[in-house]
This record gives sequence, structure tokens and C-alpha cells, in this order.
Amino acid sequence: MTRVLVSLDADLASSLALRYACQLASLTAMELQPIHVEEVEGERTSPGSGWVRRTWEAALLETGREEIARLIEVERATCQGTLLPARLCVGEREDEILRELNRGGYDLFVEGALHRFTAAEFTARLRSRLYRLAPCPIALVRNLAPLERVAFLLAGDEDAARLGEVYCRLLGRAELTVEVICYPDPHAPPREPTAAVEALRRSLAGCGREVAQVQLWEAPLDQAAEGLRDYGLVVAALPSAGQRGVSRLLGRSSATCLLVAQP
Amino acid sequence: MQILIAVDREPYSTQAVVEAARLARNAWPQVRLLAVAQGRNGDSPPKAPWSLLREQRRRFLAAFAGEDCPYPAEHLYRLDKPARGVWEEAAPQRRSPKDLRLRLRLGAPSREVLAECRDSGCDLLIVGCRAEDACGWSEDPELPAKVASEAPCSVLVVKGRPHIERMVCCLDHDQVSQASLELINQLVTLYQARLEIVGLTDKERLKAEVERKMGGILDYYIARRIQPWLELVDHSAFPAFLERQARQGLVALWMGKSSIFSKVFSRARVRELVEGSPSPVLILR
Repeated sequence: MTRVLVSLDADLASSLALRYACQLASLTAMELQPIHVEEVEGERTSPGSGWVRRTWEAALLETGREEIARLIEVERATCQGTLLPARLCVGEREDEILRELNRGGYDLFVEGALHRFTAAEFTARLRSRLYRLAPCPIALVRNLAPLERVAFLLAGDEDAARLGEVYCRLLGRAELTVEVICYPDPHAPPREPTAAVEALRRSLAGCGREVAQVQLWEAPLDQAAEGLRDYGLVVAALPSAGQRGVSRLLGRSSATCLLVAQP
Repeated sequence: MQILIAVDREPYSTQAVVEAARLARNAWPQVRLLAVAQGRNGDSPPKAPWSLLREQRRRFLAAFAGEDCPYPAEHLYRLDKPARGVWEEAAPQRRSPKDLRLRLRLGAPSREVLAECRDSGCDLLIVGCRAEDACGWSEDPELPAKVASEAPCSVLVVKGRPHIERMVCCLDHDQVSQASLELINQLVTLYQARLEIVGLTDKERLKAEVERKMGGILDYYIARRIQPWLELVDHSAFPAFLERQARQGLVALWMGKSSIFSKVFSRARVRELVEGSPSPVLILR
């Protein structure tokens, strides 16, 4: 069974993330483990250690416990996956999530983030420790779209076979329409996407999935970002610093994306 | 729902009636057709504007040809003069499920349209305007912008033949009326448009009550099988955002008393949006 860690706070983005995770779980067997990290800010530093610290942490966690429990209970009735009780912890969010991802051997991390008009927040997220060090792919949920069509976004220089392998592991059994969008980076030397597309095809064939359509997009950024809305999931390599084309497109788009780290 | 359609003799007013009729076929609102004229306050209404109103009523009712029409047939209407400088033609209430009445007022167009909004308590005012150049009326170039800024109700400014693929509804407060939610529902269904709900942030921070309202609106439309998309825009970037959106569909602003739109988007900016947007504009109240 696929193990998924879902980050929850008491906000709308987390509600979207949990609903989307449940939608994924309706397509393939998944165990959903919510996690909530109560962050320590400013004067809220630990007063000590041992029993004192534990008491302090318990008090902090009470703040979020009921809200997170309520969020989970709203979705539990309709969520088809196995929805476990939330793990609650105190600390620095990225540290705690990375610790849990490494400890629990998860196959996927899901978090929500409402899409913003300016891409600065998205870019900062890509550069964060969490995204650079996560041991599994990350699904960034920005909107709830029906999960019927999936797009693989290829710039031409990523390990497309790996994208296919990850997809097969997570959603290989789901009956989704799979398409490929070649989006060359306008700032990089032109690359022939054929090899990447063929590598992806071979990889997907391993789990019996066929590519329904391959498109080459050379549209302006806004138009391309708008086009991604037709897909319930956009699968892409986690953009590196030099891959500005895909990074800008994903930042401008409000579609949910599955980001796969490259070796 | 009650809709007021303000018309003059120009083609854009005919388009406003056409769009109103499309909405009415789905929503079955109470309807008032209003024209404003200059002239003397006699027993009979001035001929030309009164003929215009009757022609627009005929056009409105023609939209229901071949289907059940909730409005009275033309032969049932009776002329009345309820007040000085005001004429009205309506049918007895018991003869049809919904009311459609003609109203003619004497005076300055903007002033009389706003007065009719207040007197009728309408939920939605629909006006047309020129699609090219600045959006205005032939006899009152500022009318669409003025009524959009000052009307106590929601205002839809129709431009050209709307081809609306997307409705972008922007809010920065949580006082969102049920009527406005339903109006958006009707328009999304009518135009088969994608719906986007935009929350305004202040220095990238979203107010808790706005976030809750966005969640509530999301659930409201999902329950009605409409899948809105959510987006956040900082108020510093809002003018640039609007400029982009106005090219792609209908922009709707939820204006409330506590809305920062009244500061960020002053009356002058409402005018700019109404006059400059190539697409229809919906001000929600």
C-alpha cells in the first residue's frame, strides 16, 4: 500500500491538500498519515527540558489538536483511503516533516498552498530544504480539479524515465488519461524532446500505461499556464536553479503538480 | 431576484436586454425595463422613449418563444402614472408567475437610473455600453461607470456580445450575500464559464475571515457541481492582475462597506475598470 504523508494546518490550503489526497486514495490503495507541526516562534522558545519541555509542548499542541481533528473528521466520511489519526509535533516545520518522511519511509508527501498571482512564494518553496531534501516526490496541491487527465511536463533535459517510474509506483493502477507536454526552456539551448518522450513511454509501459497524446507547447507563459488547468495533475521534475522555463510555468500555473527530484 | 435593465436607443442597450433575457430564462427574476427621457410632465409618456421600451419588452419576451414564459403576455399590460415624471406599464400580478414592467422617468439619465435602483430595491442592475472607445452612453457618457460606482445593488455592465469563458470573482472581506452567490451561479451556468475565486491579501497576508469565506464559497459551488479555482492576489498587484483578467473574461468585484476595494479600488478606479475593460464587468454588492 502506498504511504502518503499529508501536511495539515488549520487553513484552507490544508483542506484542499487532504481532499486531494483522498481523491488520490480513491484511485489506488493509499494510507494517509496527516501531520501537523506547531511551530515555535519568537518568545515561544522551550523553557527547559525533560518534563518541563514535554508539558510545554503538550500545551502548544492543544492549540492545533482540535482544529486538525475537525479538519480530518470532515473528510473522513468520504475519504476512501485509510486515514490515520494525525501526528502532532512541536518544532520547526521543515525539520519535523523531513524527520517524519525519513523515519516513516513514505512514498509521497502532500501539502497544500493556495496559488498566488506572483510566483515568489512558489520559487521560495522550490528552494526550501524540505523540497531539496525530501526522500520522496511531493504533490503541491493548489486547486481541486477532477483527477481524470495527467500531464507530464518535459523540458527535454530531465530524467523522463524516472518520472514514469515514480508515476507507475504511485498511480500505475489508476485509470487516468496520460499526456505529455513538451515545453522547451526558452532560456536554454534547444533540445530535441523525442528521446525524453520515448524514455517516458517505455517507463510507463512498465505499468501498462500508454501516452494518449504528445504536444509541443510554444505558447506564451500565461497561455501555457492556463492550459495546465485542464489537468488534474501535472508531473514534472523538481526544477533546478537553471531550469527556469518549467519553474516559471509551474509558478504561473495554478494546477496541482507532482514534483520528482532528479538524481 | 429582481433585475432592473436600463436602456436607451443604442445597440448596446439591445445587447443588454438580450443578455438579461438569457439570464431570465434560467433564473426567472422579477424584471423592470427602464428608460429615461427629457420632456414635459404630461399625462401621457413621451412617445419615442415609450415606443423604445415596448420594443425592448417585445425583444425580451421573444427570448422565451417556444418555452414556458413566466411573464405576462403583451396584451395584459396597463399604463399607469404612479408619480410625477414617472410612467409605468404592468400587468395584474395574478396573471403570471413573474412581474415584468416598463418604467419611464423624466430627468438626467444617471440620476434617474440610480433613483430607480433605490426605489425598486432591485438585486441587479444591467446596463450596456459601447464596446469600443470608452464605455459610455450616447446621451450620458459617464452613466455606466457612475451607476457601477454608486448603485446600492450589484451592477452588470454588458459590452458587445459577451463571450465569457471565465468569471473571476474577487473579494477582500467576508460580507458576501447569498443573492450574489446565486447570481454568480446563474451566470456561470448561463455562460458555461470557468469560475475563479480570488482573495485579496495585504502584504501577502490573507485575513482569516476572508480565507474562511473562500472556503465556504468553494464548498457552496462544489455542492452545486461547479468547481471554482482559488487564487490569492496581493492588493499591490491587483491593478496588474485585473488588467490581465479583464482580457480573458468577466471580472466581478465583491464591494462591501468594509472592503478595501473602496480604497484600493476607489470610484475612480471602478470607472477605469468599467470604461477600460474590454469585457463585461460585474460589481457585486
